[in-house]
Amino acid sequence: MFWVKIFALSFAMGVVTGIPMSFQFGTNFAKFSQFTAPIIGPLLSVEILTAFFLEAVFIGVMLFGWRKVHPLIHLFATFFVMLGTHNSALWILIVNSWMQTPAGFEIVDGVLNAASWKEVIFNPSMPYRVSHMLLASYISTLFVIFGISASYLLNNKANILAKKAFKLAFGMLVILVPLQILAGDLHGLNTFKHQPEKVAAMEGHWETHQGAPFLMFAIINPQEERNWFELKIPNAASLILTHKIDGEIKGLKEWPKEERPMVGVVFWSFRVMLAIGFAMFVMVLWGGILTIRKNLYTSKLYLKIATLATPFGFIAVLAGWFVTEVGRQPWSVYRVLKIADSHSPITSSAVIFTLAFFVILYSILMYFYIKFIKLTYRKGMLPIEAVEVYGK
Amino acid sequence: MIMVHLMAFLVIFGLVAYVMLDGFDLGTGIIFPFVTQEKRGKMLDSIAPFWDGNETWLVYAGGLLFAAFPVAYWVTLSALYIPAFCMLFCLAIRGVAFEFRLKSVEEEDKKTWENVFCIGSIGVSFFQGIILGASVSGIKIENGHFAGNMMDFLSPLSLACGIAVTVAYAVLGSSWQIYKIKKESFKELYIIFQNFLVAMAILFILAVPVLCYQRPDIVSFVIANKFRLISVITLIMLSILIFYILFAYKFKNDILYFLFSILLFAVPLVTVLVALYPYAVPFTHTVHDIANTPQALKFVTITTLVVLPIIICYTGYVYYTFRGKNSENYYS
Repeated sequence: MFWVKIFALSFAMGVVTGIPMSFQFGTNFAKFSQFTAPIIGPLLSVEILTAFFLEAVFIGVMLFGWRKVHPLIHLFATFFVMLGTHNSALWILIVNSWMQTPAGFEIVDGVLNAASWKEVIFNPSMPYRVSHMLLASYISTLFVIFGISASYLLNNKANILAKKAFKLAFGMLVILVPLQILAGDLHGLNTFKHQPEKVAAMEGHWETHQGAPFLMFAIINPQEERNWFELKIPNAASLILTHKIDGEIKGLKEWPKEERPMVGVVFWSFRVMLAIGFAMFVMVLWGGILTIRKNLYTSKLYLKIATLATPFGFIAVLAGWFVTEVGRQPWSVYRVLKIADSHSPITSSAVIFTLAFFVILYSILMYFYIKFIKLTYRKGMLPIEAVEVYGK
Repeated sequence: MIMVHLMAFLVIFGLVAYVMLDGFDLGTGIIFPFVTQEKRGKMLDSIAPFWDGNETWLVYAGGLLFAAFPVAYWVTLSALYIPAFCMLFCLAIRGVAFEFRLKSVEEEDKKTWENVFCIGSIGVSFFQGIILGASVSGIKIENGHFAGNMMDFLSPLSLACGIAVTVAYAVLGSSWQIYKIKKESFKELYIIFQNFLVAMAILFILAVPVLCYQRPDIVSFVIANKFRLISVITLIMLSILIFYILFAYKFKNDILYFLFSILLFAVPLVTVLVALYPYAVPFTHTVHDIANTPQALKFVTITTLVVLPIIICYTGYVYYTFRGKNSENYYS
């Protein structure tokens, strides 16, 4: 019941912040909606039909049906919530991937049309984005479970459940973190092939290089189109992206100024994501060594760091989305529609007003969300709660 | 062509499902000021398993509108930017209030979140009414986009609809609670139900001259073309209403209040939409003018026809599971 409570809180936050987004296509991006409706409209409706109802209807049984249905049915309800969240991730990522690497469409007299739904759905970046993001979600959640149960172990408040959760989370991280590094690498190669200017911004390269270095650190200066204080690993970027020591990587100067993304944001978000990915990998390796030495549950330092790592996944996910979304600028649909041609015919003051309003609202919600998570945490894990009994 | 009509039907179906289902859980929040605090927890218990699924019908209606009749989607939402955002804002605070109320320990906190839930519910209903009223009042369109002022949504009709929808949801909410809550509370809820019902009847009567004043073209179109349909339906509705006020107190079967309330709203809503059909934006755009491309329509129609029956089945299953008087205590 402990994890279900945290899930329910997070789910509610997800629902209320997600619903406004489904209406923003119309409120704020009318011209985007107008142009992309023939493709994005149907894709979003599939998401609504196959995902939103499944999760929203069965979560009622999952949270409030303990006494009403047989445990097996309850398990089915939970399974359907899981299926719904997966469908949701799949279809929204299909939409996003299509915006990144549009395919299967034609434009006749200025009207977009789906030429092949198969190509629209299985667009070039879709498989990579879906696997990378699904793994990222699993890992983010596992780090929350890992961190919270580690802090219980650390404070000697742990019971058998905390130990079990810690072990399970660690075991899954051992498998998923290396998989995620592989998926991220493949996704990067895919981006290099289909959106080379995004990769140039991620790498912070202005000039086209043969045998390009990987920049560990640099201060990006977009005005002068160069970097200050570069700290680099020679040839590393070429090796990663082309698998050749002297492979060519195009620099940002290959594209006109108005078609380049904001380099600094992309560059640094990418590094934040990489750093966390690396830190996660170290955590897994270190945990492996501790397991062999049989003191995984008792190493104070490891448990402390695991506790601190609780929000790791979220930070990495956000940084990753900054890379991919800011990296697509100035396009809303890559090389088809610009952001500047996507907005609604509404006054900018209305947009600023509502944006400010929502920033304040979401900050307040975040405050209470954290407060209630803390409250749930303080109550602790109880082995069995009375409410779980069916037929009483 | 058949797909356009089919999709129009499916969108209207979603709209009606939304008003009926989310209507009762919004209404539950609206009537909070009229019941004791102890009862509020019980009332939340009775809508807890359903509200999330109910709200999804709004997303369904919006999403299908985008997929099938995109012009209507982006024109309405950008024209009604301010009320749409106010509604979403209220929807957000209401949704979290639900969860935060459940997790609260202190009595003070519980009270606070109940108030937030109540204000949010009233806000959602009021702004949905505004959106409905403003759409009927008319939206200025040029070259397929909204071309009016941000404050155009304010009109006597939209304000009247705002209040009417709130009252209507309160009727639905109180009738749902009559069905769900134990017999002892019947009298208290019944008085609330009756008062809102009378208020609604008065509002309906007042709305007619406002509509005649603001959109004489719609009124004359309906009278000229669909007069027989409208008069029959109005008569049926009025008789249900009168029947209610006179005899409802005698019903032994508590669910009848709710079923009649549903009819009371579904009937006029469907009537208005059918009376204006095939106009989606009277009298400039028919559903054919604003439909998506044939490829897109085909895709949406097929998916909806396959998936919607499944959704209805499992939603029905969940309602069946939690049927009857509520005995679960999560909030109380």
